[in-house]
Amino acid sequence: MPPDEAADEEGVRRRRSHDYHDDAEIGVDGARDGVHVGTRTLSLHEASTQRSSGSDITPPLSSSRPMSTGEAGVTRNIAGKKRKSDEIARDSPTAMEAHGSPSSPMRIDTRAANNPTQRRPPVHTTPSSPRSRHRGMSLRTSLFTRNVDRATPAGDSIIEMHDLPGSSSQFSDSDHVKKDIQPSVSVTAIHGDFGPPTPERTRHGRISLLPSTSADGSLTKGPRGMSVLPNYQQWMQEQANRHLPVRRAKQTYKQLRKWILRIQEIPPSKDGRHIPLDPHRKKALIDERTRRPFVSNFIKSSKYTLWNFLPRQLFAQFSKLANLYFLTISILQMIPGLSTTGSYTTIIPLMCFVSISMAKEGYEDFRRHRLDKAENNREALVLHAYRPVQVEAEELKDGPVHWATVKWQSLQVGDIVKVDRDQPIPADIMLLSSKGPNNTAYIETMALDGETNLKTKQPSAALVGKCATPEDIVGLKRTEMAVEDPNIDLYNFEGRLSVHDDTSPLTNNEIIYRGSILRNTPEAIGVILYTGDECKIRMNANRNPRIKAPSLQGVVNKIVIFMVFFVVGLALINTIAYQVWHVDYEQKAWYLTDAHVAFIPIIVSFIIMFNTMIPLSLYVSLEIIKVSQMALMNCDLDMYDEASNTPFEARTSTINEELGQVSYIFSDKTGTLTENVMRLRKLSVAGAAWLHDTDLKDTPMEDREVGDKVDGKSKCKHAMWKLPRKSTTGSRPNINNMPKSSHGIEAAPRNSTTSWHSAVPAIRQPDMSTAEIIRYIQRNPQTPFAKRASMMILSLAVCHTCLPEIGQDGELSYQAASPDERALVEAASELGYTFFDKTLSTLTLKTFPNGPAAEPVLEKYELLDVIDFSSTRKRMSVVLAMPDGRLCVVCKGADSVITERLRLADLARQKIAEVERRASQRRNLEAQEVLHRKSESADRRSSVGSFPRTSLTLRSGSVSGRASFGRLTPIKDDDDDSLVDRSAHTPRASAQIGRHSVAYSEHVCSEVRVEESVATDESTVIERCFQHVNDFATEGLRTLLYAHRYLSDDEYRSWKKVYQDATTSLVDRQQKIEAAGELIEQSLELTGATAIEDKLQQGVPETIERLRRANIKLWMLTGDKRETAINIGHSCHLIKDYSTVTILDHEAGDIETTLTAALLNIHHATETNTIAHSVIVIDGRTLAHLQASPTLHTLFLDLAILADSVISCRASPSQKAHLVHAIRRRVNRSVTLAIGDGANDIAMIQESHVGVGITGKEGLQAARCADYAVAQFRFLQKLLLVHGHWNYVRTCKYTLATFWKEMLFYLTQALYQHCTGYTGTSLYEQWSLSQFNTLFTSLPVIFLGIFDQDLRPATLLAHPELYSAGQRNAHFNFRLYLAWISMAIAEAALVFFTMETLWGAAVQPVPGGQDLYSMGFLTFTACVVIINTKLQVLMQRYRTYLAAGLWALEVGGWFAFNAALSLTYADNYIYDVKGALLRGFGREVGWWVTLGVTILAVLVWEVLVRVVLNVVMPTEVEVWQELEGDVGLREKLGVCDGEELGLMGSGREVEMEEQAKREGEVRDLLGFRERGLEKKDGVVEQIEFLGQTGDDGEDESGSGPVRKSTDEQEMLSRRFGSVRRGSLGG
Amino acid sequence: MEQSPPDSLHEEHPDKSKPKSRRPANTAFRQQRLKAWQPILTPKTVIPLFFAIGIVMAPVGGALLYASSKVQEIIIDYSDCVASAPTCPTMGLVPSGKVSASFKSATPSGSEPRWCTNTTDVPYGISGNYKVPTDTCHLQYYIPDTLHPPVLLYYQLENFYQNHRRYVKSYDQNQLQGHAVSASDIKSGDCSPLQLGEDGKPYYPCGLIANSLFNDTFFSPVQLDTIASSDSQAVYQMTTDGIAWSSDKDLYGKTKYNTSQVVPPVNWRKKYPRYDDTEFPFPPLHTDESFQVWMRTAGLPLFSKLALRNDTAPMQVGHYSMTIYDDFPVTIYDGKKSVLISTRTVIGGKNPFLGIAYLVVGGLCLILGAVFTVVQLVRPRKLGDHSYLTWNTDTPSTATTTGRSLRPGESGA
Repeated sequence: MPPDEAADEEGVRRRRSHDYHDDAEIGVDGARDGVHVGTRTLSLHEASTQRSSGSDITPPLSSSRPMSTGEAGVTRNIAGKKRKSDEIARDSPTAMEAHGSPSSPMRIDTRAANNPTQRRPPVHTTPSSPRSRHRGMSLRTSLFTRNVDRATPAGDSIIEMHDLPGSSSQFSDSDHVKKDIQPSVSVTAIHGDFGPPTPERTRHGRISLLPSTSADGSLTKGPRGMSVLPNYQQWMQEQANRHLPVRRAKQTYKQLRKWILRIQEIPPSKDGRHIPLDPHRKKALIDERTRRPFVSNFIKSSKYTLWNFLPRQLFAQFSKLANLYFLTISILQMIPGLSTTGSYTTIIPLMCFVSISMAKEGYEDFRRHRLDKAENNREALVLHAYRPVQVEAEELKDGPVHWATVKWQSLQVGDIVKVDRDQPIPADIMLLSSKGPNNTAYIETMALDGETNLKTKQPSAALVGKCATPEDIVGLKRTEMAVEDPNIDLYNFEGRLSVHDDTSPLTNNEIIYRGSILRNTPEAIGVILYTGDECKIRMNANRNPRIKAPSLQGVVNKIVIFMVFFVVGLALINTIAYQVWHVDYEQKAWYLTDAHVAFIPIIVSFIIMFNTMIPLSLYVSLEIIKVSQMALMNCDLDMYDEASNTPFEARTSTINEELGQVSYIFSDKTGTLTENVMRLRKLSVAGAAWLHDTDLKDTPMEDREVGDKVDGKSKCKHAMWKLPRKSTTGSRPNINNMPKSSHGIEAAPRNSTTSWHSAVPAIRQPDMSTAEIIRYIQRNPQTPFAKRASMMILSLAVCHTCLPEIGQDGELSYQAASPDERALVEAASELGYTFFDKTLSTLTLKTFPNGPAAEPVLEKYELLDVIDFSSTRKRMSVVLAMPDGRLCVVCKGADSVITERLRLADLARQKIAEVERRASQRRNLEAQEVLHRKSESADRRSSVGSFPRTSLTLRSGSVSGRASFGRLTPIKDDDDDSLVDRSAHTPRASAQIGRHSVAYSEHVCSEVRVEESVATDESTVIERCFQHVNDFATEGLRTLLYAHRYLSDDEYRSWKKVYQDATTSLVDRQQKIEAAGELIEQSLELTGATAIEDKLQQGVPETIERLRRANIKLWMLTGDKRETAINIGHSCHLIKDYSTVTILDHEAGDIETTLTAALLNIHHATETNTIAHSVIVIDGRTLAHLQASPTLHTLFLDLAILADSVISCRASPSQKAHLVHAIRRRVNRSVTLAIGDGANDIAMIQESHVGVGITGKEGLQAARCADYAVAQFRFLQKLLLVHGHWNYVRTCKYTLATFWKEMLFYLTQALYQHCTGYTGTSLYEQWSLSQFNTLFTSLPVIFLGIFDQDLRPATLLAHPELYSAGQRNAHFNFRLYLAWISMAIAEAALVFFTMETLWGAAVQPVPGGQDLYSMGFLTFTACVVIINTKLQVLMQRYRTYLAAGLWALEVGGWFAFNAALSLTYADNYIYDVKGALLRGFGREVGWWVTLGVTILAVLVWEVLVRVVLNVVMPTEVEVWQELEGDVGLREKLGVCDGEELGLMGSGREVEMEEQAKREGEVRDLLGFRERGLEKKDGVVEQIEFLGQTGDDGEDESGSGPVRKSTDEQEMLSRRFGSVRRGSLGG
Repeated sequence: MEQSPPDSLHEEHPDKSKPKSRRPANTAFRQQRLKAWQPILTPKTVIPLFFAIGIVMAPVGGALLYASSKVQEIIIDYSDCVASAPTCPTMGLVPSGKVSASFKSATPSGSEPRWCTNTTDVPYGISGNYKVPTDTCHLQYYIPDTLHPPVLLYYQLENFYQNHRRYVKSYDQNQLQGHAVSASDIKSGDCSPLQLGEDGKPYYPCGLIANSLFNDTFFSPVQLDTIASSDSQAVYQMTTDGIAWSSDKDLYGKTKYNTSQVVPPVNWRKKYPRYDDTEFPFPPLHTDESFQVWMRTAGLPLFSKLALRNDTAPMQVGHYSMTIYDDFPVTIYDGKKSVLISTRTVIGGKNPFLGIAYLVVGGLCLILGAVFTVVQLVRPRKLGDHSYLTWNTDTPSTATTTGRSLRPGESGA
């Protein structure tokens, strides 16, 4: 094939495959027009497009373009290693030439020529120009190609290369191509229309992607698609240039550091590491890179040693701004003669504070030391065979071959280790042999990638049978492994193994990583490849976890800096004033001869005097507060999981307030969102859908009753998810509220119908239980339906690769590679086909044809062949000989795959199209509905303020009075409401389906159980089956199709021959097997479909919904497959039915184009409101590819930020962490929360602002490293929405209050300076002064910070929108700070001048009446009373007896303290303390009267300001406080709250009772009110309320969705109306 | 809080003990649902509060004002007496700006305060042979109402910074208590900058406060109207006894210095050119209440200190004459000194501002209460806005349609 033609074909193929191709193509032109020389953004894609349009250009050089854009063409294998390989290329070009250049292109060529399926053209093979050609090549590739060269190609990687057209350009570059491409790069013509795109920045600093936002919406298909990229790059470059000096400085610093500390970068090895297999070895192997032995297997996660702890910690402590500040102050204070406020008042508390912090650090590190030690001292078995290495080595006699016990830390590269069942793997090893079946070792890699299913590993074929015993291994000669250098990639591995000069490739399949655990395998032997810190798990670990500090602290620090300037400024002003006063007065005052104070002492003493405006107690008390907040969170019953007996546990207290500001949540999937329990949930057979509910029936009856009861009372739809354990999503409430008549007809409650509800309520249909099938089959075994059904169940029981295992207790369990398979087999067992025994070629099933009670019958099936599942085949088949001798092939697989292989494939395709069309119609309608609501609420929003739609634009939203309320209006595009109401709003679409299914099932349920007629009508069966599959998938279930075909003996025999050949083939075995499989998997009969539910954790969708309403974006980062991830995304409503899902896959096409187009689409759609909900799906490899280029990465991040949700699958721990890091950096002021349960989430948890660990079944690793440990994902609601909000508000209030009180108090001191000639005399006596912050005003702020509740939990949970206040920093910002400070200034002036005029200046008839002490005491007392009153009464909302007690304690304590001083004080003239309070001014009415008026004046002022603000511009919190105060509304909220919490916390009996009583009252009240208005309904409702019975729950499931939700709406709005009226009236 | 040990224990010994429930205690405190008093500060809720405060404060203010008005006092600023008063016996009118009197009865015209000045040779020392010519100020004033005891005579200094940072602590307590503090101790002590005089002898008493002792001498006022009847009655006898705290006496003691060890402070040299046992013995600080009063430094640059008092006899209506030895310079630093005769009430001296402050605050509260009431009656504020609570009603909020035109992009949506 000539190259051009091939390229054409390539282009066409792409065009077909690519959604955005049109945009992209035109976009390319635009891009070229707009490109300047040097902005080289031409992509591979562009080049191919050009070619396809007739130009004569051969594929461009990847290296001729900037590396960033060249990535698309790089092999999958290389992508992840790009950066590294670049380095390699740069560092050792000669090495690369030597290894890579001569071999690779040629080899590829030959392969291409040999392979008939290859679509790739023969490529240029110019052996010259090696450098440019191989710049992008990694060691991995060179190793790989070498492997290919030496051994027969095997394994996936080759196939991948075939499929990858991009890879061709990698190898087919040549110099003349490079020249050719140049002209197109340097096109400079500028089209008027599209102009040179200049980055247009919005006010948020983000680049505007669109040159202009036109209203006609043509942009999406406009030609500007690609022109964005140059913009982007330009912008990126600008950004980069802006920070250039900083980066340079950083780089220099790094180099300097390296130079000083003599850190040497380890150069990459030339050809990987070579490890000879040699159990005789006594000396450690030498690392080629460092010329030293390989790193030991010793791991160290601790940070300090005994010696460097103190200096490093001291440095760390005092590099904190605040500590440094206080240290400076205390040093100044200790200089004699400068301080007017004592010498040690700062240093002593500071030292205590610092030592506690250090002790904490020290203890943590000590713990790490201990853990390290435990891990390092574990023992492993190492094969020792001491034979003479050399003849003359006498001491090394022939030793016995034995397994020596060696500590983990002493393991070395090359050691041969034996691992027993359930033992952890000590290092990264290559499997030599396994005692498992078929040489397979099952391992659990939970700690690495979080996946719980077991993985199979097999030793390399070259070693099979050669390493079974130690002796065999010892006898193995000339065996060597060459493997790549240590890296962090968990999913790929490259290396080769040579046994006696036979080289075979090593892939991930042979390697077991440290941290895995051997399961279900008696023992495995392996040779160590990497040790210690070079293990993948260690390389993936975050070596230096970031020390987390709350972002609020950043603001506080800024304010502290501001305050430092303020203090210095104040000191300076006073100093200057003193100088002026000195000239004006002091010089002339004869009595002040020589009393002048020099400049330095005066300014220093002022600084010391005012330094406490930034009190040390700000930090000390904050610690106390946070610890207390932590304690309160820990004992929250609502976050206690009864099932696992796990309370919530905060492991750190430093970042409590961050919980109130989270804007991104990164969640793991397995174990976090899902329970990792697979169950067969639905079955479609012979045109009927059945619900498999055996496990649901286990739900204790009481449970359901409780649920139903609550349900009945519920007047709130938010209680959707509260039926415990019942299902993934719970039920829809309120059925019981409806008049019975409305659903009496439809409901046909049977014992068999249960109330499992799918994730998507609208599609809910009353399915029949599978138990019915069994019964039916038993009764009518010969009907067509029964035959179909039993074939289906039989298929479930036989088509799998599970192994039965009978446990000690006689329980049958199954060993399966995937939990899905196990679920299917278990289901089959529950349906009467118990897979009982398996030998090599027989399957034994236990069936119960005569009912479960009767004696089981054993049926033996001969298992002839198993064609395994593979990712390309997406199906598996078994060939069986039935007991009656018939041969049958049973196939199961993805619907798309099976459809093609059906006998009636054409019919099936047609039906699928129909089903799809209906579904898409419905989706469109739904999306439109959502958009409609959205625009409605956008209207509302934009008319009153900005709602956090895109997090970037909302941040500036100010709290401007009423305007901010728009935020509170719940957005109506959520499932919570809209999905429930959907049927009411989109009657045509969903009603159709609804009717369809309702009618159908009614039919089935009430008349004939099973439609036998349908069972024989093939086309109906197919149609319904696909309809069901579609429905199942929409519900988030994982579907599989089953098909079968009976074979004739001849057919089988001929096929068997082909298959036999294939399985024994040495060349292309996999492909041949696949081809053989293809032969037999043809013209199959559709058996049925299954739907497997990956059980979600309780309350997950509701939690996600609520968090979304709280303007938190949820990203799901999982190690699972993309399909699984998307599936779960559906079932937990991360992806909605109407969502636009963008899948980013760099193998599917030009990622750049996809990215750009998606970005434009979403951006545009967001502006014009045409996308209801967008989700990005990306996989790990694509991510790695994107990360390699800063431009693409930024592009991707922008896209991800714009999207509503992101799902990342196949992500390695480090990638997860990286994503978190990127968002943390990219989105300003974002607070990220990572939640996960496994060790693979640790990196992410540590990287995020807030790390939450799930204390699940999978161990506690994540929970140990996390900041917070919860038992259930749904507890996040209470944690974030309630505790987070509270903690944030509390901390904010605390901080503001602290600054306020300091300002108030010390400003009186400053004001007094005016009366003392600015000489620095203190108004206050020292003892009381030093206790101001500790004894008299610390508790009010601390209590405020611990206990205050601005809103009730019910309100906060019912209105997640309130949460966004934290994200907007609404409770603490500079403006608020200034407001509080202004209040402080005003109040300080009021206090001081009142005192001065009313008391100080008045003639006092007592001796010494006008002395300093009485004045100081007056203002001091006023301040103490004001501070306590304001903080405990005015500011605090949770005014309990604590507040009252505290007030009394503080104020009383202050007087008691002074009375004590008055009695015990030493004689002192400056402050006339002795006896003053008791006998001096304390007896003066005037003094007390002055005190009274001072306090009252300030408090009246405070109240006045707050009332006026409340009227003029109330905050949203204030409005909600008012609303809470309304009894009717509170009850409304309270009901929801109680139910939710009651179930969250499980079993709060007392609470429930109380609540029931309360509800009863309200109900009476409501009923009474309503009776007047709408008598009939009210009465019916009353009856409904009171007549609660257990079987109401049954009714619920039978009622039609349409009618119900409208009724519900009516009811609610009506009742709501009456509440409104009532409350307004009263 | 450490979580791992119990867990691992369970794994190992499942039967050993039933796992202890880690369920948090269900108490109102821990679950943060204590009963709380949660009124909100809205105009409606604060109306009673404001009225209450107003109603309490206004009468108190009235009472205070009344009490203050009961105080009778006269203040005469005599700073310029020596400089501007006519030489005795000619009496000149004291400029009205320098006089302030508040009595129940008005002062008849012609009875305004008058002053004159002359120089008197004042004898100091035991023998009285050491005479120093001293400026003397004579004041004549009229008391229109009988002042009931206690009648207090203050001197009032203005613009005098007794609270100066270095001044305020410039004394040596030990020295004052009578200890013979050595020169070196004084030097390193608090008295700076006035520690040692000539010859390196410490001052006694050292320090700025003592040095600047207010040394004008006030004589008891003499009633001019009754001069004919009897001399003894004419003098309204006032004393320094009881002008200081009784406890203050403990702070001072008879000094143990020899007169040769110390020198008097610079400013005392007029009365004490030197210390010697015969002619100029140490001043009796422990009995000198004027000194003790002075040593109690004032907090503000304007202060009045008690100089004389009479706790027994009323001061009768009439013209009085008072002699003051004017030694204390104030004009150099733009200060002022006054003599103040006053009675006292329960709230102390005259202080009308106190009552006014109460009246103002109370009045404001009443006014605000009234304003809020009116507002509440005329346009009652809705308790929150229910239209925001639309989470389960599907009727579009009316708030959305308040006269806002659609943006171009929205028309299609």
